[in-house]
Amino acid sequence: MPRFSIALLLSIVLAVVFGALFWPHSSYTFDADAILLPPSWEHPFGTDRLGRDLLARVIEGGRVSLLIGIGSALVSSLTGLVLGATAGYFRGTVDKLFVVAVDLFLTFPTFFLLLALASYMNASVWVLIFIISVTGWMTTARLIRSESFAITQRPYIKILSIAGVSRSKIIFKYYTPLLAPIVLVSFTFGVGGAILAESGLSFLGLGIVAPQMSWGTILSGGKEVIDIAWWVSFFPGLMIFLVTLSLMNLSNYLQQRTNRKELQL
Amino acid sequence: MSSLLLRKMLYLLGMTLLISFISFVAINAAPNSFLSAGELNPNMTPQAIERLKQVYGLDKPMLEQYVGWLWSMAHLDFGVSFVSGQSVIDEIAKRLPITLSMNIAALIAVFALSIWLGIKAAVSFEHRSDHLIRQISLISFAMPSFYLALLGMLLFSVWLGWLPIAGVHSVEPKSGLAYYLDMVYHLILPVGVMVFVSIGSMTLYIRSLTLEILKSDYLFFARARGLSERTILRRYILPNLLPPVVTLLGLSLPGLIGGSVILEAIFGIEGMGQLFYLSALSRDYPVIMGILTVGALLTLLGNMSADLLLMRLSPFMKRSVS
Repeated sequence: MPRFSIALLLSIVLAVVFGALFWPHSSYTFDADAILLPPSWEHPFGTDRLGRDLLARVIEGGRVSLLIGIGSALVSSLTGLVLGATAGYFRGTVDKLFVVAVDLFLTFPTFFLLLALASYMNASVWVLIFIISVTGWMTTARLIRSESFAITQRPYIKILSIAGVSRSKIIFKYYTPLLAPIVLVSFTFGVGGAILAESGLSFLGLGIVAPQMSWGTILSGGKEVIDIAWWVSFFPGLMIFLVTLSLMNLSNYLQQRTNRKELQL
Repeated sequence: MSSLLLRKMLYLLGMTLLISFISFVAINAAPNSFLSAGELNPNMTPQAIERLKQVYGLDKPMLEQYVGWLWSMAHLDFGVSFVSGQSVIDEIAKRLPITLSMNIAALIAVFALSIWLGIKAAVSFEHRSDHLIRQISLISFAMPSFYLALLGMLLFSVWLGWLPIAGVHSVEPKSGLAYYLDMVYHLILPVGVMVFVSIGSMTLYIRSLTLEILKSDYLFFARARGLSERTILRRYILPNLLPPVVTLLGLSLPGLIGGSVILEAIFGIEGMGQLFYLSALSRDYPVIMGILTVGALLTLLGNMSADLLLMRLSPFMKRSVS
C-alpha cells in the first residue's frame, strides 16, 4: 500500500476542505503593510503583491483545483467507459467510427483545441471541466476498448447470450462491472492529469478568472516576482506537484494490483 | 503490403483534411475575429471595416474561403500573415531554427536517457533501481513543466547565478563559435526542463517493452545457453527494442516543429510555440493553418518513414504494418 501517498492526499484534501474554518486570514483582504512578506509564523506561506495571505489563498484555490481535477477525471473516465465499451462490445462499424473519432482527437493539436474552446466561453469551473475532459477522454476509451475485446471473447459471455439472457442484462450486469478496475485506475491518474492541465491553462491566462483562484492561477501569478519573492509560486506549485505525484503513485499501485496495461500519456 | 501502406497514407491524408477543415471552422466561427480590435475603434466606419474584410477575403462565405485556402495550399502557397504582412513561410522560417535545435537536442537526450533507464529498471525488476527509476518517472509525470522551469531559474539563475535567466543570446554581440556557445549556454535550462518532463512516459514504456522481451522464450533459451548478460543485451534486448523505438521516433517528428508554448513564454524564446500562440490569440488564420498543415505533413512523413524503415529492419514487420 502506498501509505505515504494516501496520508498526504488525505491531509491535503482535509486541509483544503476544512482549512478555511480554522485559518483566521482571508484570501481576499488586501494589506498594504504586508506586501510580499516572506514565510513567517504569521503568514506560513508568505504574502503576495497585494498583501494577501498565501496560505489562505492556497486553501481556497485548492478547492477549485481539486474540484476541477475530480470533475474532469469523472467526466472523461465515464465518457471513455461509455464510448470504449460500446465500441468494444458492438465492434464493426461502431468500432470503426470510434477509431476515427479517437484518431481525430489525438491528432488534433490539444493546445489549439483548448484555445479555440476557451475563446467561446469564459473560464468558470464547469467550462474548465468541460474543456479538460473533451481533450482527455481518449486514453481511457482506448484501454476500455481493448479490454472489452478480451472480455467479450470469454466463454461465459457467449454462453449467457446463447442461454437467452437479454442483451441489456449482459451489458450492465456481466460485462460493464468487469471494466471497473480500468476506470478506477484511469480516474486516479486522470485527477492528477486534470490538475496539471488546469495549471497549464492558468499559465496561458485561460484559467479560472479572478477573484476566484486555483493553485494554477496563484502559481502563475507569482512568476513576475520570482526573483524577489520565491514563495508566491513555490507553495501552490508544491501542492500541485505533491497531489499529482501521490495520485500517480496510487494509480500505479492500483494498476499493479489489477494487473492492467500501462497507462500512457 | 504496399496497398496497406497506401491505405494508411490515404487515411492519414483524409484525417489531415478533416483537421484542417475543423480548425478553419473553429477560427472563423469564434466570436471575435481578426478585425474585432478595429471594430472597437470609434473612427472606423462600417464601410472601412467592409473594405478591410474584402482585402483579407473575410467577406466571402466560410466554405468558399476554405476551398480558396485549400487551392492555394495545393500550389504550396501558404499566404500572408494578417498581423505582420509577411509571408507565412518567412514567419515560420524565422522561428523554426531555434525551436528545431532545442527539440532535436531534447529528443536525443530523452531517447538516450530513457532507453538506458528503462532497460536498467527492467533488468532489476522489483529491486532497488527499478523502484527508484519508476519513482523518478512518476515525478517527471507529476511535475508541471513551468513549475520546474521557475524552480530551475530560481536555483541556477537567481541564487547560484550559474545560468542566464531567460532569452537566447547575451546582450553583448558575439560572433562565430562564441555566438553558438552563448546560445547553448542559454538553452541548457530550457532543454533540461523539456527533457525532464518528457522522460517519464518514455522510460516506463521502454521498461514494459523490455519486460516483455525478458519474459520471452528466446531469451530464456539464450540464458540457458550460458550467454553473457552483455551479449544478451547487445544481441537480444536492443535489437528487439528497435522497432517500437523507430515507430516512436517517427511519431515524434511532427513534435519537432511545435514549440512548447509554456516553456517558450517563460524563458522568453521566440520560437514556433510563441508564434502559434500569438496567431491563435489574434486569429491570424493563414499562420495558424500554415503551422497546422506543416505539422500534419510531418506526421504523414514520420509515419511513412517509420513504416518503411521498419520493413527494412525486419521482414517479419512487413506483415504487421497496417
